[in-house]
Amino acid sequence: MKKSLFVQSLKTVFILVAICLVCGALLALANDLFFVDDATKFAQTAQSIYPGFVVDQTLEVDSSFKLNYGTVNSVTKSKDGGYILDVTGTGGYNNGTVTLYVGVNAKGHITGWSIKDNVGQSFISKITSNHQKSWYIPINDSVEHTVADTYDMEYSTAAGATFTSTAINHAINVAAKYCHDILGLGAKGVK
Amino acid sequence: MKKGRLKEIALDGVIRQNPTFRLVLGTCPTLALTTAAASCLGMGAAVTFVLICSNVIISLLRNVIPDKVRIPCFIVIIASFVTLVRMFMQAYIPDLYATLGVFLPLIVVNCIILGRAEGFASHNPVGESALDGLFMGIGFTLALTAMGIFREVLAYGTIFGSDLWTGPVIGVDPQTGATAYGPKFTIGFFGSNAGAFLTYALFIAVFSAIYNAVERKAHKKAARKASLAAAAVAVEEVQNAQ
Repeated sequence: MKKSLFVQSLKTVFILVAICLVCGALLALANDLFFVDDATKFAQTAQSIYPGFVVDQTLEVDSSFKLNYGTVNSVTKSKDGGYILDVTGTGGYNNGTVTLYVGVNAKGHITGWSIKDNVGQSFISKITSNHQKSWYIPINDSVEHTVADTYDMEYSTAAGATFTSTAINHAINVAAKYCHDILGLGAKGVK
Repeated sequence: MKKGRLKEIALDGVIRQNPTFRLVLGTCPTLALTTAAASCLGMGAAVTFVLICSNVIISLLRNVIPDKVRIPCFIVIIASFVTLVRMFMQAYIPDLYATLGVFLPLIVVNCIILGRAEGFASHNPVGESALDGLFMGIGFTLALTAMGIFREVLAYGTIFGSDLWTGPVIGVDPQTGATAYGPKFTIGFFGSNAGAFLTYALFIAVFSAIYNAVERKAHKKAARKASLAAAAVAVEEVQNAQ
């Protein structure tokens, strides 16, 4: 009887382990098939927020640029003189952050933005369409206009949580201020 | 497969046992994702794929998996397919992947999938299990999309991201020369969490009312048919006795 129970238990564990191993092996195969490198991911995102963007070079972020509501992580220049900035805005729910890709063309106008990552912002998936994105910053707005008018504005109805809106606003304003102060875009009489 | 079984499985999945409006399963993504109709279609497609695949595999292994570890085995199989869907979406549909967010991995613990695995796939052949997964997924997708369209139209005045109407004309943009519109009329409440619950309740109420009315009519028709048949048999017996 004891031996029979032991054998049954062993059989149960063996079947469970076998299923786990087979599933693991198939997932490892799928991971190889569906792997997309960072450069391809960036290219896909770039086309969606800045149609026609062709990578020219990646610029070094100016270390003297410091703001208390966000940071610039990387700046990629396009061959037509525009930029895509990887920026992080603070002030999210529970001190979380939101990281965006923001596209700015050579005339200093924001072409679009896309969410790259977030820390602790569960409802950020609600912000999808250009219509919803326009609550934060109208696409095609100038970086000069952005810095002057949208800093400290909070669109509290947009995501259902004010803090998420704050982090997104901060991220966009970081990008706008960097383009205006460091890259010289949108400034009167310059570029 | 027996004749009529396909129709029975299809009607069960889409109407009689609709997972959203009749069984009230999978309420988490139903309430959270129905602010936009497009994300409902994406979630519905993901759930349908996982349902079909997990039902097929679980049905294939139904005589192999011991009863004591059936739930962990089901979860491992379901989680594998959900991970597959995540990898595919992340690689080829990154916008939808970002939109679904945390609700994509939550499909693993979606009651619809575990419920059908436990209640249907583990007791039925592969073909029927696959069809059950397909029609349950279709029922879920239709329910979610209907709610998504309703909420998106009322809360944002758009459908699948396209504006249905605009606000009042307030002038001309001096920079671009384009017509400038003011804010348009919307009922923002339906974009909120409370609005989600109200919408869900309304849809369940309407669906149940229509379903019950159709069932009553069908029962009356069947009862009349049965009584007519019984009367015909009685008349024949009397005639034979004479």
